[in-house]
Amino acid sequence: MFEKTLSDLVRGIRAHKDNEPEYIGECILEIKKELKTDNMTNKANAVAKLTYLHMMGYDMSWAAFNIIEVMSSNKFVFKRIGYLAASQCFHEGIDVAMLATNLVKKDALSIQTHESSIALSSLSCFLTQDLAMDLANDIMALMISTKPIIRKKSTLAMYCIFMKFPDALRPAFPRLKEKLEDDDPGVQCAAVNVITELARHNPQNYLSMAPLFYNLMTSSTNNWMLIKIIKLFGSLCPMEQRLGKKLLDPLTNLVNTTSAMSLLFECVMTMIKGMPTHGPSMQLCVTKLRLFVEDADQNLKYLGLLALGEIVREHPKLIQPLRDMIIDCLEDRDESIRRRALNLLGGMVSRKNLAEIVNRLRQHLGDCEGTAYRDDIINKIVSICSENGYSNVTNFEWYLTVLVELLRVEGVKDTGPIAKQILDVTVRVPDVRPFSVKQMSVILENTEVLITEMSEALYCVAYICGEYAVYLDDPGKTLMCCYKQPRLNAAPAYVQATLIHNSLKLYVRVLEVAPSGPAGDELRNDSKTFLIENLESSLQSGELEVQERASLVLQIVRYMAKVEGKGGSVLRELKALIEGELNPVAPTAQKKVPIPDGLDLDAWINPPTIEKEPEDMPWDKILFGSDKAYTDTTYTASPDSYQATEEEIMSKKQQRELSLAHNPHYLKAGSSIIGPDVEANSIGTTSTIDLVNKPINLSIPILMDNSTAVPVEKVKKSTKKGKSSRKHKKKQGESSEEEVQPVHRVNVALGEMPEGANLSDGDTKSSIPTNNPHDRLNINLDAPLRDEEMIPVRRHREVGSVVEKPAEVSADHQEERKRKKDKKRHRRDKEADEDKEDKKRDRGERKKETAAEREERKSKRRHHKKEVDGPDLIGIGDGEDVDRNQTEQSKVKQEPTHVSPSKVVDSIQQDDLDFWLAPDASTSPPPDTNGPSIGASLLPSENGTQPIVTLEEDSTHKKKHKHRRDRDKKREKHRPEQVIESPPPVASTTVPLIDPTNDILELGFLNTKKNLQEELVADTNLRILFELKQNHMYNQQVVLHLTFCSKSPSTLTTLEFNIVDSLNVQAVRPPGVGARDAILLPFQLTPGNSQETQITFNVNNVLVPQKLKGTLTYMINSALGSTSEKLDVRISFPVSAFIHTTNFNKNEFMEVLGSGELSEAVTSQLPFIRSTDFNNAVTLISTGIHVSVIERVGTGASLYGVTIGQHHVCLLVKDSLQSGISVSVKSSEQILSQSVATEIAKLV
Amino acid sequence: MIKAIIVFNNFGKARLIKFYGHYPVDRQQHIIREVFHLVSRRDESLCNFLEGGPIISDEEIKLIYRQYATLYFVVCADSSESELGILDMIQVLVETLDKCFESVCELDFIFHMDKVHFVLNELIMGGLVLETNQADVMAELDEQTKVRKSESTTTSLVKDTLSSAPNRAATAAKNIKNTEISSLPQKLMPSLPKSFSLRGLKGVSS
Repeated sequence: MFEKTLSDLVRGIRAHKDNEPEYIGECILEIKKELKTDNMTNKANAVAKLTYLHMMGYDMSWAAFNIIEVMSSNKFVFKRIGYLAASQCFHEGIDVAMLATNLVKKDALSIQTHESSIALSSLSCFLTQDLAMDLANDIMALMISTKPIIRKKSTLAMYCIFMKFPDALRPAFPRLKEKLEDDDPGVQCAAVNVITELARHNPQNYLSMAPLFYNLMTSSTNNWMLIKIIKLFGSLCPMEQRLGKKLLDPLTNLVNTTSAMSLLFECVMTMIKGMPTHGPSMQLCVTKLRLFVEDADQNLKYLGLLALGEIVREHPKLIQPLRDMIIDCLEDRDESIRRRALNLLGGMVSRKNLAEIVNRLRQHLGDCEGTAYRDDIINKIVSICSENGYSNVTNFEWYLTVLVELLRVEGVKDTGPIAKQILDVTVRVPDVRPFSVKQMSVILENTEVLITEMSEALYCVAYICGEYAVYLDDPGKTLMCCYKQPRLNAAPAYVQATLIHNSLKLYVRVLEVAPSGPAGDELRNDSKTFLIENLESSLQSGELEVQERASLVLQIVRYMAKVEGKGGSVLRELKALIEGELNPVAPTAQKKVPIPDGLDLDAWINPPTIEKEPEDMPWDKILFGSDKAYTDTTYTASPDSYQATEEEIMSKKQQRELSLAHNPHYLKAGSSIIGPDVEANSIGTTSTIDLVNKPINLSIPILMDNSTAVPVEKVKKSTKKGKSSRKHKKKQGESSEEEVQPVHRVNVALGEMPEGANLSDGDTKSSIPTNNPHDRLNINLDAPLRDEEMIPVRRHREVGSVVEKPAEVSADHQEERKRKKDKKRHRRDKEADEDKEDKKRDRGERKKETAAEREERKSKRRHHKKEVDGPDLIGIGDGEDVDRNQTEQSKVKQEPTHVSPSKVVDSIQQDDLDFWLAPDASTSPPPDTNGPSIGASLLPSENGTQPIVTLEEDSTHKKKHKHRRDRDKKREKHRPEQVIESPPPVASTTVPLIDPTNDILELGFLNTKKNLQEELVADTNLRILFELKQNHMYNQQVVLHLTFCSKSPSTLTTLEFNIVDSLNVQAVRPPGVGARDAILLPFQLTPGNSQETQITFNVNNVLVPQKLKGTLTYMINSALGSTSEKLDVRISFPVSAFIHTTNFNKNEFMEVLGSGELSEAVTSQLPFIRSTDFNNAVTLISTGIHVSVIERVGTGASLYGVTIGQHHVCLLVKDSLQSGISVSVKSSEQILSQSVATEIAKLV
Repeated sequence: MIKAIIVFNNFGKARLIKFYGHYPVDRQQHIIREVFHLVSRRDESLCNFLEGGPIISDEEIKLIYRQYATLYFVVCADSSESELGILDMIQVLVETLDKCFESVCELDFIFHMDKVHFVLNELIMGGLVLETNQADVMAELDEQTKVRKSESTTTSLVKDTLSSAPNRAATAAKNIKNTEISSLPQKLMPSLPKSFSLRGLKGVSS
């Protein structure tokens, strides 16, 4: 049998144009047969055909199992077809997708790039939650594949996984972040893409990454990526005000330089979002956008208008000059552009130009095509005029005229908005009522001519004429017009009902104004007869609502006639029936009805009873709108005769809720507020006209009392205070009669509230649980991962394969450290060997000691490893060193309080950002006190001749770093020779090598006046001064400069310094001197003389202050003989001894801060009781800690230093007036930060 | 992100559909019709953006489209995509297709829908733009083609058995037919214009 190929199928379909469905039906049957065969070629062919049919709208999910079969083929050609089909039709609802898990996994992890590639592509389309959970870990593993294409695809696939399985986000995030710095630009771009997409929905979680993206933005030239990054900033900016400032420069730069319109546009958009208050940049944006709008390219024109629409909200003035240009755009042939221009115009409206713009729009309305677009224009006119409580409308008569004319425009589908506006304006602006009523009566007389679409308009016209009948010149004529409407019977019931009801009002007015005497009698009689005639015909109406109204009014009129026939008059009573001012009701009023005491809202009340109806329900809410809903509800009009069952009530309730949901006049009140009984009641009785008939219920009693009982003057007085702020508001209590003022005033007050409503309580939206994955992706990404936070791994797998990124990094570090350590050990072992050979006069325990020392070193290494593993391990580790650290810390008074790790991280992230976002220092260069930026180091040379000066001219820290490292390496290599050539660790000179002040300057020390050499120890014969300096040539070394001053009359000889090395600090001894041996100082001290020497120390832990003990022994050679003396020495190394300044510029500083390395921060308050001002404090800190001031702005300064172990130390000194000066220290190690903070505290 | 990519011709016949999200088949067809309705009435000189409204989901989406000869390429995207960027992306897609098919025409879409999909897969993945560098895309596609070719040579050796002989004959026969179609498109489908180059008709504007 010859199967059809895809081409055959396509051709067949084209050949069977007349009976396509039949032909395709046949083909599908064939396909089904083909799928049953064992031949993979046939199957793949069938699946390919199905995919084609799928495009034409034929479901193919029934073949899911066969698709999986094809996917599992080991031939790429077939596999590809299978995966294509899967990506087109697999989804959550297909069970077989579960079967594919293993297959997809296998293919995705395949060593064949192409297989992995297609699997990933396809996977992203049909990923289900289960698949996401199962595959998350594997996809993550692919992110470190060696092939860029796989890295790229897996990065994007992770986004799909996050969407389906949000728990994966946190464990995977470090790796995603890592991809931002991938070597391949495509991978970088993919990572940016994913994070941008994530951040769009939860920007607050990605705020801490801003510095990272900032760096990417300033360094990248890939426009695609730049667009995404700038978009990302667009969503971050609203979260953080300072970010906008930060971005100002680079964005302005891009705007001015880029030639890519797309990039330019995104920059402008982000500027609008990020710095909407920054005038100059907004001006720049407007200038650029003007070019867009003026461009011949329609696309740019559209985008320009789109962006201007964003600006107009904040800066309508900036757009004003472009008004004509925008109005011209209204004439554009392109509807997209017209709509944008229309939108923009709305934002530009002010009091001055409202009339002009509205006139332009009306003119435009006549010219344009398309009913939808016309409706848009009308809605726009209505919305720009009614905006902010009609704040832009100065003349309401003009506005009403406009509205009335709009009613006449041909081809307008929906006159509802216009009618509602007329009603609203008339109700809210009492001054305009006479005018309005006249207009309406004219319309009522000439509906056919004046109104194109009747129903909505008729409703409002009838209402206004009836309600404000006092303003009518000839109510009798208007009354006649009510029933002369053409096609009245075709109008919706609610319109007819309104008309009937208002005819009653008109009738009352007619009776009122009719003069006494025969003329009046005639009029009264005519009206009565006319009304009764028409009402009787209305009784025949098929609409219940109309019937009911008609019969009610009819009965009233008849009753009146009866009473009047007897010579009495009920006019007064009749007037009372329709009396009362109607006020707007607050949109939230219904929600805020307080629950009466003793009302249990949860109790279901059946059957509903009328008696329990609370009187103060804000029924009149619906008076101001066309409530179509109530026509449905009138069927249950008499609850006495009809007892609804529970089910019926429920279904009614649902129905009503449904209709309410579609009714814009109802707020969707939560059922928790409006009790079931209230709702049930409203089913039975709510209807506009009923309510109008019961004036007592018209308004909330308390407010009615207000308007009637309180004298008007009093009301005015009491509201005087608020008047200035509510210029256009009309006090609710004032009745229209008193409101005769030249300026139209609009009642835009909140509206009436039910009695006892709590105004302050928030109109909180009910929190509806959503299935939106982005809500679930709202996760704090900065908090450290907990142990249990891992992507689930199916089956038994080696834990090693799921090692997270941080662990890997630390492992790398560990490796590196280990290597270093090994080298060092090597060196030291060598030394030890030498010791063995050279010094044979060893004490007995010597060998033992060496062994012990080694042991010690080992433990030190262990300790170090731990330290690297993570901060949490510090403190629980073993070893005396740690203990010492702890005891030392506990000694410190201002020890930072212990904070829970997550809190720390939070504050750190915040601080990081604070650091980074700190105002630009470009305006204020680093102060001069900073010291020279060239770091120089002097090495003591053996015979005190030429000191080797190394000038580190490289300006960047990195280079320096490298430089050092190179040196280090060299040093390691040439170690044996250096024993002779390099300066010996201990050297002595009779003259000072250099002027100490000089040296100090070069180290960045500032205070030269102070004697930097402090007394180390002294006794009767000897005084030793010391100073600690760093050895710039070698990392991890500090040099102790010692000055020995003789106070003794005798010569002191054989000075021996015996230093007990600690785990962390070891003296570098001259060759041939054992670790436990004393160092013999190579000089004698003659009376009155002084000698200098220096001892170099290797420091292994620069994170905490160190201490060493030692003894100095010397012989006093006097005439009487020699005596030996001993002096205990304690050398303390503060952390600052390990920190030195660098010539960092601001950008490098930002880079360091932005790198995310500096995760550990400690903040301490410096209670400056002394009258030290801020500048002094900064100087003090920079001198004391050896850090340089990077920038100083106002009451903040950032300082920076680097330890000899290459740890960055950043300080932010802030002066807050209340709490004194606070310093936050930031470094990569918690302990270091703490130590520095402690030392600063000590300094002060 | 990109919600969907739809390619249809002047008559609204879908030539390529790719939805990044699950929609039932009839919903897909409905979307295609709606989009066609919106896009087709706009002439070429108008801008390439349309506010689609809630066509695809509740979210407001933008339709970014471009017309090449008889085909409309429509991308439905949300606000996180750059309009001009997407236009460029469409251009890259068409140029890549042009290279793959050597002056692509609507017929290529009809007869090699799968191939068009494979090209698209290298440009966009899961609704996010994967690669916009044409050279990279081509490299990846060439890689796949190579694998396919190497497979087809080995396949023919493996399949050299009696049972599969009829099939092979059939395929051979069809291959001949295939070549006829692509070389003489106007004969088979007179309703379609001659094979044309997409690039020549409308160049890059942005």
